[in-house]
Amino acid sequence: MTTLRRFVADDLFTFNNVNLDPLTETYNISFYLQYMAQWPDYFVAAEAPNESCMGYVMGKAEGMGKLWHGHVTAVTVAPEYRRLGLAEELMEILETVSEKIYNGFFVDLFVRVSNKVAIGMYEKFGYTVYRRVLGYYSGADSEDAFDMRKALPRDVRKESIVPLPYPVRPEDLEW
Amino acid sequence: MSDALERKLRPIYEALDSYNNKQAVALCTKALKKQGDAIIIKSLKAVALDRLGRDDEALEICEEIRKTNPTDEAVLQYIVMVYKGCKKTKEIIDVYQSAYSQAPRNEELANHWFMALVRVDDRKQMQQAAMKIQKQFKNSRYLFWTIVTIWLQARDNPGGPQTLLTTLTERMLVKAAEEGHIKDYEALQLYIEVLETQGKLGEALAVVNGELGNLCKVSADRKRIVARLAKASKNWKVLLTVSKELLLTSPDDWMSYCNYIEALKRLLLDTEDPSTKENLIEQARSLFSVLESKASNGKRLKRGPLLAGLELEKMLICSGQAVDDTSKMSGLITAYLAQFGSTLSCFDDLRPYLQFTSASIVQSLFEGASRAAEEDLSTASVRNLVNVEKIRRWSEKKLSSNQAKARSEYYMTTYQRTMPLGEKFDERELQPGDDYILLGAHSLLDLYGEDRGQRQLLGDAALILEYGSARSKFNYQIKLLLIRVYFELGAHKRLLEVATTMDIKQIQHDTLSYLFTDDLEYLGCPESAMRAVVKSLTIYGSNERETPEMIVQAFKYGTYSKIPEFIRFRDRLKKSLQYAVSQRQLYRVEILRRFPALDNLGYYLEILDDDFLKYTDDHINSLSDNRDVTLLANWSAIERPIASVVSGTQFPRKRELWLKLHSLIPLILRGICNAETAEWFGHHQELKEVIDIGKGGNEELDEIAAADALYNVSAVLLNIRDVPPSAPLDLSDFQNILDRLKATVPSHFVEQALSYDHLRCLTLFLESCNYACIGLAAITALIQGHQKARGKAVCTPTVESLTSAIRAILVTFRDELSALKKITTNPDVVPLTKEHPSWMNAQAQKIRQDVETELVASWTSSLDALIASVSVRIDRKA
Repeated sequence: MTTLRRFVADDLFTFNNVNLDPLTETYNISFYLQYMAQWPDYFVAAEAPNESCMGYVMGKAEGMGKLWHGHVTAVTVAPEYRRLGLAEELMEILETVSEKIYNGFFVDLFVRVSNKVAIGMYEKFGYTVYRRVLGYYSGADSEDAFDMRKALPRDVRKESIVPLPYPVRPEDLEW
Repeated sequence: MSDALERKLRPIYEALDSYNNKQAVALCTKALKKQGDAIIIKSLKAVALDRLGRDDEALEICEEIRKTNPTDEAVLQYIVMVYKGCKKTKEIIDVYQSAYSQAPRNEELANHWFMALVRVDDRKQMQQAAMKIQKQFKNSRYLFWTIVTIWLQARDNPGGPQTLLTTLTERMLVKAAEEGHIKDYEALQLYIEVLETQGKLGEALAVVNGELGNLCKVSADRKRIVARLAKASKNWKVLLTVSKELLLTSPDDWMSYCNYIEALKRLLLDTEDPSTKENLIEQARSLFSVLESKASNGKRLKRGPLLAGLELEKMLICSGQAVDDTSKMSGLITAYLAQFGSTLSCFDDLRPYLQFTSASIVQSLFEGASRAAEEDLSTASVRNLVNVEKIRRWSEKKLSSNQAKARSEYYMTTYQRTMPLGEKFDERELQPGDDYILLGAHSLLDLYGEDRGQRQLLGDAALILEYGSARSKFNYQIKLLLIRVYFELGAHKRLLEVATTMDIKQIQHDTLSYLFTDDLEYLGCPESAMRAVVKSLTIYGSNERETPEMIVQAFKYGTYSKIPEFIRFRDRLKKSLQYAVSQRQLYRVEILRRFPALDNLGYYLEILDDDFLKYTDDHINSLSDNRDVTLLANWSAIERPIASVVSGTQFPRKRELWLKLHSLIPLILRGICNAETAEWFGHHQELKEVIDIGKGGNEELDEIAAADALYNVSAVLLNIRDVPPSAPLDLSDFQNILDRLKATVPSHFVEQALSYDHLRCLTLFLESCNYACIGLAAITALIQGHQKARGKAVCTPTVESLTSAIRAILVTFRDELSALKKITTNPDVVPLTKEHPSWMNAQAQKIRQDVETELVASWTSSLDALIASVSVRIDRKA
């Protein structure tokens, strides 16, 4: 029993139960508002009956030609609403938006190679590792990332998800 | 650009790129000697000067350039950079406006001009600019800019004369639709919203159901709009049908359940016919059972259908369509628990329906869950039991003191049994038994709420929470409650430490800071209070810088729905209540810190921004309360947030009177310090009114007493300021102020530990003394001025005797503080249980010791700070 709706600027005042979780980063105002301004359909909030925020997904459309795709920037669920399949539901919305509104070929996301739980979860949702990105995460916890993908109906032959046999560097990423 | 010019420019760019600004200035100056009219070089020089902090020179050059009416985009970009840095928004608009009028075919300049207006939110000008640009470039994008800018003006004042503008917006949209300019979802939304605002729901519905509705590429989006419009127009049949359709495709969509049940209720109330009623209810029940089987066959468990069943029965009972049938509701609750008992949100899901259950059912649920956990202790069985514990707490009447203590102990022993389950969890995950910690603390805090004399309950609650936090390092619920408990204990050090680990940042500064910064200035920690408050204020600067740019982005991408949304967001932050409170806290701390240097304080007060010191009712009522007050868990049936139970009053507290007081106090002190009489008397009278209101309403009496001291000081100074030099000065009223202070030196503390209340009392007394000291310093300055003019005046009593009187008060106060320090460092007075409840193992003992040490260290530091603050006033040379 979730209400799914567009994330609005006012939600930033009340998303604390989600964002106080150590696994969810809180960014500056522009970060959220830029997504809302540019890809309003890609930023979706899940709301509980008592109107508290259960989680949200934010994403964008990018790429050229056959690489035109949806990208998952963040998907997060408050601790009290985990294990209810909400993350999957949010990912499905992002896939629907990528397919119906933006007509992309695939959806992709980046995940730390050490984050086994998340990788397992995305695999369950139908994502596969497309390639490894060396040193994608910088800073204190510098680490490689997996670029995981899931093909959308437009990519009939599922060309977009054929794994790359070699790793790439962040500067080699197309966008 | 000529090669020669480019050769000259290259080293300048290089210098600027490497932030070698001095060199850039030198290079520009040299180049300008040869080529004095090259405005590109001039503009680069302005940038370099601006970066060096030489704003005046930079701006002067920009003015000079502006007179040449430049249209070169690089030049414009550079001078705008300078203007932006100096916050000269009007100049930016002028620059682009004039450039665009020079080059009316330059679309880029047109965009710059419009966006400059967007940044300052000048809606009328925006409209005019958009119309002009639309006329020139004939692009539907600009047509929508025009429409949105008119719409924004219309929304400003709904119902007022602006309705004309709404009609205009609508007419333009109708025309845009006819001419095929509505081409995306955002434009469609705007169209529907404008129709809705005018109550033209039928028209709106026709638009969504018509050709334009196809712009909703996700069919559910279209149906949701239909549902919204049907609800607004009270078209219950349509609402029922469309909600049913939505539910059949997504059986967990709570909004559609609510809409369906609302529609059903209205239809039931509209009919008298029993068989129609029965039919409707039967349809609903069968729909929900279809959805339930649909949901249970899906790949995920869905809570929707079962909860909707509860919601349906609740509606039937509440609207008189069914009798209050406890057994039916209890059955549904039991069924829900069986399926979702191990989810963390289960209790919150069930809360709205708990009133329909009975004590015996709760008891049997509890016994069942306990048995299950007894037989198989697992994360799932523990979570299930915790949910039932919460239901038990919710439905229980008040417990006696012994019962509550025993309950708390039971929670803690059960918690310890659950600890091995979470041993291997990632440290960022919640532990299965975490909520037992909160339940254990809540039981004690409830008792403390009943009898605030039992202060060891607070210490014991802190101990429980610290114990839980040691295991579950990232549980914010435990930390937030811990912060509130430490606050009540008057222990700033540990509370700020815990707050730091929460990594509050960005927008959370506005919504969450109050949990640890509210009233921090009373705790005898001026430096830490100032740091915490200054940090929290950073978000408002970010809002000023970032949000206008994002409104620009929304225009750029044609996301019309986000434009009013972002404007509202910006205004909520700009007019944030928390902003107003924090700003005044800062002034307050600074006022105490800056004196005894009277001129330093005077200078500080002089440069305070009057915009932050507004105190009219209109202003205060217009502030936006963005504080997130729903965050702390509460499982009690009494709708009293646990933070308010801890503080004994509403938390966060009412601020209207406080805001007025702390606008007027700095304003009056400004008058006193700087002998600025123009507005002083007005503020003085306003303060009197606020004091009277406070006294009349029994509000913040201790704050009022301190403000009263200032009022009296201000009255004396206002009286003597016009006495001619050399005329005798009657200072007996000032003596009266000191007599009152002398009689109220805080000394009534019995032998017990410090607390927030104590520290607040001590800080307020220090503030009262401070006002007297500032007053006396101002009198001294006045007399010295007189002496220079006309020789010695006679004061009764003399300034010397007043000075020694005030010193005597301060010395007594300092002695009291020192005595208090001796008491509070005695571990015997620390409010922590001396008994050893059964759960107190070696680790808990160690944590108890740490809590004790922390409390004593914090109190000592607070008293030291207060003593230091008193000492500088004693030692101050007259």
